[in-house]
Amino acid sequence: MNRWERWGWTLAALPAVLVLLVTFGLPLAQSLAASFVRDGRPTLENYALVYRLYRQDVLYTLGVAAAGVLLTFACGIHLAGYFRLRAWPWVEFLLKVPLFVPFVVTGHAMRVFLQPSGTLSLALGALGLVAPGTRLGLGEGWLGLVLALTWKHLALVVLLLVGAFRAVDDSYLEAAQGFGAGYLRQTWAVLVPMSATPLALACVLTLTSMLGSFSIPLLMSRGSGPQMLMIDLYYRFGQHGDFGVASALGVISYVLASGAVYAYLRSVAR
Amino acid sequence: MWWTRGALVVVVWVVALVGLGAAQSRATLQVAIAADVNVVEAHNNYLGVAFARNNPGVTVHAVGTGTGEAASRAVYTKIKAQADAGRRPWDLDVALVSMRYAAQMVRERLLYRFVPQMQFGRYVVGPDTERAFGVEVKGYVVPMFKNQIAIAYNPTFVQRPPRSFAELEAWVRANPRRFGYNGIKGGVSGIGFVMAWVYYKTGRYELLTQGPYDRKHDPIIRQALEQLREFNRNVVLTSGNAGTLDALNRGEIWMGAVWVDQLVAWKNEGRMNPDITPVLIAPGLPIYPLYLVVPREAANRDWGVRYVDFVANPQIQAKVIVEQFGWYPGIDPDRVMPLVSPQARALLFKGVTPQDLARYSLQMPLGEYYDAILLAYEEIVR
Amino acid sequence: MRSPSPSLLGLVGRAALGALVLVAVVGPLLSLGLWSVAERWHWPAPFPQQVGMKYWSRMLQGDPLRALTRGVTIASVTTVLALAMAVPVAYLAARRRLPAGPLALALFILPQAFPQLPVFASATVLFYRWNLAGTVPGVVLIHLVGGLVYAVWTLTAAFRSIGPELEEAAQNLGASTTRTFFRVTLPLAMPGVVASAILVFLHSLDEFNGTLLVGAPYVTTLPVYMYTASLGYELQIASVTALVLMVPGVVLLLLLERFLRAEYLAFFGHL
Repeated sequence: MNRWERWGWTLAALPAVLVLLVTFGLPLAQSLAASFVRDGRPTLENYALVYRLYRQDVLYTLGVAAAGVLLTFACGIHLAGYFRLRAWPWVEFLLKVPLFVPFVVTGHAMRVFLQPSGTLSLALGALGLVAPGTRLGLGEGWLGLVLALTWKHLALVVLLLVGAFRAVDDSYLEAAQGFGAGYLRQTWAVLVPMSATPLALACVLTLTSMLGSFSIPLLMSRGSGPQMLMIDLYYRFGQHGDFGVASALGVISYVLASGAVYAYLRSVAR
Repeated sequence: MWWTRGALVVVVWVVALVGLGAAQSRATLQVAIAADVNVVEAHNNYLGVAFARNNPGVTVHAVGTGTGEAASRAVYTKIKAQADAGRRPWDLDVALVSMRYAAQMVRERLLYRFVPQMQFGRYVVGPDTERAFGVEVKGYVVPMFKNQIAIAYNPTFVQRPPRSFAELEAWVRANPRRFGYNGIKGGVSGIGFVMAWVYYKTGRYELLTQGPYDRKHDPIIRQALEQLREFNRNVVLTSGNAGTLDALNRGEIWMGAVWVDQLVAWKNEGRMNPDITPVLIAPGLPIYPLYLVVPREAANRDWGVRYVDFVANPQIQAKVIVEQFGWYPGIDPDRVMPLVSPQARALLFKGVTPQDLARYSLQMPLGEYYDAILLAYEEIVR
Repeated sequence: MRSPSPSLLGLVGRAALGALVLVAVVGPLLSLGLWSVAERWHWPAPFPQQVGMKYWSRMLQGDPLRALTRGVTIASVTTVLALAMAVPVAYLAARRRLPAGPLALALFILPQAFPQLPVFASATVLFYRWNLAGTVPGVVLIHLVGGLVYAVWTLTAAFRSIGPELEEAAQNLGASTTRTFFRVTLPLAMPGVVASAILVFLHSLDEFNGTLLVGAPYVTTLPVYMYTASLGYELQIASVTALVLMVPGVVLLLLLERFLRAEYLAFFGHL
């Protein structure tokens, strides 16, 4: 590559960098700054208001995300282990489907499925598993949210874990089998420890994604009780135009996401 | 970084223009509707089509900006941004916005005072066309329709509906989780219910709506909301007005605070149990109109005024607004109701009579009290 | 590896697992299908009382159709722009010639890591100032955030998978780097470019958070339309729209399953 070509290529790469700086970098910096400003004066008032109104919601968001990660990985590890040990392509394929179902569609589908008079209640009633006319309240509150978030994220987690588990050499599994280890033992004693790094990475990414989830809680939440952080942010920004408090909520979510930021940056540095 | 920004804007615009092929017709009236899908449909499929038929060469392009107050705020922010940037003309000719943001736009001088020019301007009457949230809005706003928040009940389960908030409170205590409304984040019917609750508990309707605003009244507001927190323990909080209607329809709840117009619209569409009936209870619930407004620097301002005039035509009000969609007329009902068919009239006033409306239809509070109540709700009730 | 001996317990467990996955994955989607054809469905009937295609035909006219065509237009423009801008970055990154390499690349990964909503809310404030809010170019710009990220990473992987030997051979014959790129590297990388284009297109078509904020008040795409309909409990319309939104992705999954690599799909966790 001669000097002119090098300049040409660098110049050609510039628009992409500029677009991201303007549509991502600048807004990020602006929200950091705006969280410390109210009525044109530097202040911590925005954070004080967040503390006054939304401190429970921060905990609630963490709780929902943690429960979601637990459930996702409890299912994901066992499924991925099963697929590694006893291949089953069509079920594996089926599990990938939610990957291509947009978040907002997931929110709507789960709402239709889980709400008290939703299709799940109807189906169980029709099958005689619950009394016809029973209304299961699964869609309300944190449990429905956890189920919906798990439904959406499980696909990616299984995909990543199956990839990681397939990288584990057969000889280890055969050795374990020789000692009489069954499916569970092989999964937990061999596959999981040998895939610790990708597992941790998947864990951090899932947690961050759940903490920052917006469209699923937007479509599923009811009007009462604690809310996910992004819902509060949207309410403050969308309904009140209160950019200061919205930014303070945003900055808190950045802090919560710092694990993912670190993980991603490390992957780039490699 | 002005140059990067400029270059970026140019690049994107050029590509987008080429990509879109820029298919614009002669005079296109840009109408933004900060309301539910059915209101957008009313403009695109009925009002706009009829207006275009009467005025060849003009097309009406209505877009919905979403639901709830966020939708109205988006319209306000857009107009405000153009005004602040000193751009002219503005890209919006007519907007349908909530009372709160119409008032804000009047205060910030973003609207055109067009009602005096209208042929049917003299039919724009009522206290809500004069003052809103403490702002003098007369001449700037035309309600497309009036919208009342009422208590809807299912007669199968509720033989004797409450006639006052005190009776409602007792009923909820006796029938836990059978009453629903949508809180303050799911739209204005929930907000309206909260405001009515504060009127009821404080007994200071005059003060809260007429002013003066004084922070020393905060304690009584907070006390009313603490009582609301107790009340809410036995209440189902839904995700929105439609959520309340849906829960009513499925029998999840037996009573709920809803917009009357949506109740009627659902019945008209065959989506709603026709037995569900609205009542107004003492001391009353807010009426909250959606206003048609014309931005001060609208590109097609004169056409915008004519379009609003068209919507305010008593014939159109009777046939489209009342008969087709089941809304209360936006203009003087004495001019509209004689033109409405008896069946539509009966449907409209089932449960809530014109007398009830006259007695129990309340105004929203002053802007400052409104904000104070919402903030206190977030802190106390949640 | 020794195949596990089939025990009765194993078989029963396997059947139960398959059934559970089927119900869990397909159940919610099936209820969308049911609602999309339910012309009348009053609780507590287990099935719709009246079935028909009324709401599907409504999808093909008026506002939903406008939202669909607008969304496709936006997605097309976004895809073309994202690829055109991402190709040089990805090529330089693949050959480790990107000035300020890790720093520049970090810019192309951080949008994945941060929660989108606060950043987009902040971008909305800027866009209002620049008169981009509520315009198609504004929405294209916000879709480019995710679009560029997908494009850069998938293309980098694609270029990296083409060994430098062929390029070196061409250069030894006197071709410039640029000429080599267009004559040798790009044609070889075409499958990766196509995969990248599809992913960016899908991302833009399905994007909700940014469109909701930046598109308001005038630009409505299908996900935003679906959201409004769902909140209004227009369950039929919302379900039809949801299925329309889902179909391209699932078809893609069916057709391209073998070609889509895990690292491509990984980005879709963040739609």
